[in-house]
Amino acid sequence: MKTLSATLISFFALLLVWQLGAMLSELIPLPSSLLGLLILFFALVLLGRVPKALHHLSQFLLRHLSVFFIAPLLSAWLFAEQLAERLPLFIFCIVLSTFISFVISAWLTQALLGQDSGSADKPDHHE
Amino acid sequence: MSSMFGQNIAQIFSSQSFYWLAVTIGAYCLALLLFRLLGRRVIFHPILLGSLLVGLWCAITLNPISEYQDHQGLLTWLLGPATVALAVPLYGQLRSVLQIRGKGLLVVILGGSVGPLTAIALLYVFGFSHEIQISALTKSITTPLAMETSDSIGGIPALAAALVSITGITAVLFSRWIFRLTQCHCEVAQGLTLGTIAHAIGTAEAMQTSQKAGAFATMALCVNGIVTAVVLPVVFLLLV
Repeated sequence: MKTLSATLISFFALLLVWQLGAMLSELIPLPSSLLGLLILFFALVLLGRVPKALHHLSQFLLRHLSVFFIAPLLSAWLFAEQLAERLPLFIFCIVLSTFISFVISAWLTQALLGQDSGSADKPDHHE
Repeated sequence: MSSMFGQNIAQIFSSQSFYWLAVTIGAYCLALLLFRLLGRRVIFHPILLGSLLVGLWCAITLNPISEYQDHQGLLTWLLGPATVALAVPLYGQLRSVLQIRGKGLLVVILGGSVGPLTAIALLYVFGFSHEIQISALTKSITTPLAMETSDSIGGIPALAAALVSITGITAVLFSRWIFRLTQCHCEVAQGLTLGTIAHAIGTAEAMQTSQKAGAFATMALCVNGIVTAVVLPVVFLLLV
């Protein structure tokens, strides 16, 4: 019961912070969820710790963030109808750009960070 | 806050909204179960299976997918608090973030710029419309930030969200192969790359490699999301 109420309070805290972000976005032209994120971040920095219930709730929400990608992926289907015969080309562009940026990013990150972090702990990779 | 992406509050909390929320969550749970049963292969990712299941449900119940799109406002609405929750792991990783400081930031920012730039270049070369090009700029950041940012720079929020999903899935499908190709074996580098290019979907993949990789992916996801969401509107404000 205690954990349930703590979870509910955390959820309302998230809603409240998000709404604060929405109000702030009237003044600053940035996405409201981003402003909410920053407000919560600085609140946590000031507080110096993460309340247990908030920690568990956010872990749960973020672990299941995938559920929010289902609707957009389905709406891609609607755009597929609009793009019609240009669809394969469109998908090709997106996949190719993802591939290129991924290779560049992986290579760059490994080159810049690989040595110092890699030597500190053994580079083990799971296949 | 009377409207969000053109939907008003009454529409968000309509009974149909709750119905489609239940369908989506049900499909997701089933997809998650199947994903685990089928050995966690990327090709059976809960997002892919979940979308298929919802699509199947639409087909069985003779509802057009556009009907589903009109009533998924509640899910979009819930995405707000979920995004705000990203502040918690970011705060938790504060020490790691400070540890790799400049280099880490540089890597995320460079990696985060390559994606949108190559996408817009390719779409421009093949002559896609201006709106579509702009919608591709937010393809490497997490959905809520992508939708709002895309909205503010003149893209199509729904298309931006779809592109985010496609990018994430593609990147995760390629990830193991690319890491071998580029000899990127360091956990920190793998996590950062996955978070930068493939946002939340990549973070989930990194979490499966190790906690450490997951933590750095979270950091990259937050940093790239924030930087992109801040930089794009400013750039468009100055240019347009």
